[in-house]
Amino acid sequence: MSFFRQALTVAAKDLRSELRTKEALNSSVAFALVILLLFGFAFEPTEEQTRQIAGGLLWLVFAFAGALILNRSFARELANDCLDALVAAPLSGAALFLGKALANFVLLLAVELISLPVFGVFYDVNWTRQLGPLMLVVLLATWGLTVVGTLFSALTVNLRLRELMLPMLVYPVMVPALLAAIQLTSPLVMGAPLDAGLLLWLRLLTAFDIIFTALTLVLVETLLVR
Amino acid sequence: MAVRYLLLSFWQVAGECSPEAYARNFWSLFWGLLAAWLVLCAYLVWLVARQNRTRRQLESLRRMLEDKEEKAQS
Amino acid sequence: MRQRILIALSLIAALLLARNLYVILLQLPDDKLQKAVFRIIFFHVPDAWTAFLCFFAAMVASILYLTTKHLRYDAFAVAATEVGLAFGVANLVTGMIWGHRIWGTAWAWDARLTSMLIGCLLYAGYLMLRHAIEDPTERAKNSAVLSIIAFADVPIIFFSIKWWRQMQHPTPVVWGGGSMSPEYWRMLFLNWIPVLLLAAVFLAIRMRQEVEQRELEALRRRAHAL
Repeated sequence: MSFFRQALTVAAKDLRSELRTKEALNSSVAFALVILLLFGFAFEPTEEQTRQIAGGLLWLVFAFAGALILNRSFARELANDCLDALVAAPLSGAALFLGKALANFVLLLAVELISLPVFGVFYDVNWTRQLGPLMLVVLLATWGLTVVGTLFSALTVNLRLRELMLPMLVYPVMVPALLAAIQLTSPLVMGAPLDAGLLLWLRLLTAFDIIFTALTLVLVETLLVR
Repeated sequence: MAVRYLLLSFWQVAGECSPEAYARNFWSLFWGLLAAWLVLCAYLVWLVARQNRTRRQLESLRRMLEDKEEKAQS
Repeated sequence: MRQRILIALSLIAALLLARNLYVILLQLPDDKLQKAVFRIIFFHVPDAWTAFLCFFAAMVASILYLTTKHLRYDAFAVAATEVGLAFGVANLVTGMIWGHRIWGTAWAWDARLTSMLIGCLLYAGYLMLRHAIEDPTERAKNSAVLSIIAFADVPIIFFSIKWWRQMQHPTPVVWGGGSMSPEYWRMLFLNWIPVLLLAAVFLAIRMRQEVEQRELEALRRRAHAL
């Protein structure tokens, strides 16, 4: 089986298992909606304020909700020694990792696509005006978050305080990608097109994704081998 | 001799409680340097304390193991 | 023998520091705008350089551990990270006190200080991860991966924060690098030497401690087995 087929098989397995129970998906979506609601109470944004905080608000919501999904990723395999079985399988560690990252990517994207309309309703924003560029930014930043988060999920899988350590380790690493995503999302969500000044952030986001995808694929092999 | 000179000059500089010293932002310099060195000294103290603790535990464990092995042999 | 080398290094550092302090406090002229507090730069900047050098050394040691599996490199990595963190905190504290005098506020989201703060958070996470794992080999492997990812992220964090500050609120940077007189530059490098020597001494002490700590854990396991 080729590398990509192996990864896709793992991704399909994870997605199927998640869709059967929808545990992580439901709790993640609920959490995202609650945070959106709470921020509405906390800030009571007017039109002008929404323009300023939109990007930051959305990406904070996605980052927090994402942590729930990412935590489950490798933790799901602990029961019944499934993780040992996967590592022992004729599957390269990188393929296993990529498969899980792809599954997390799809799940996180689902959460985000559900949160965006809710955001539009709560904050009275028509966010579809720059849909193309907005989706590009969402895809790039979500992949960055997923790839780093899945690696740290593998890193913290055996820890007692896994739910606490994963966000604590992931968020500082994600600062550049989150910063870029926030800078890009704020104007896009409010309908302003991408101007030349913002292309810098798009390049940063792409570079972050490429560097960390390569780095994590290389490192995950050592991590999973016992 | 050099140490005394250094101490004297530092004292002279530090003794400036005058408004000129404040205008020269001297006190901020003083607090800043003090804070930096306190951080490093605190780390050193913590290192040394940890070292002593580890040595003591090692000693007691070694003695306990020797006793146990002697008893196992006899 | 080792003890004597360390004491000798500390004495050299102390003498250099004494001589430098004399020059810094009494011989160099005041800066025009900032007056005396500008002299804090002679400790603020070398602390930052030392911290980055330590983090780099930790990454190299981590790579060496992953390729050779000698726990000696793991001991070096944790020692370098701790010492780097200590100097990083010293840099932050001097930066905040300096900023408080010059800008009127202790934290003005200066690009360099913010990057250093995120770096310190990253490496504090590294130390917390180490505390959470008990098995020495597992601990060494996982923290090595984290160290490599953390240092790969450091330059990205630095540039992204720099661009963020340039675009949003270009705060006056406390020193604009290059606009200092040559005697100041010379003193800056000259003061870096005793700071580096101190870092080396701390590192050696900490590394020995890590080895002793591992010996302690091994003895404990033997004691439990008996």
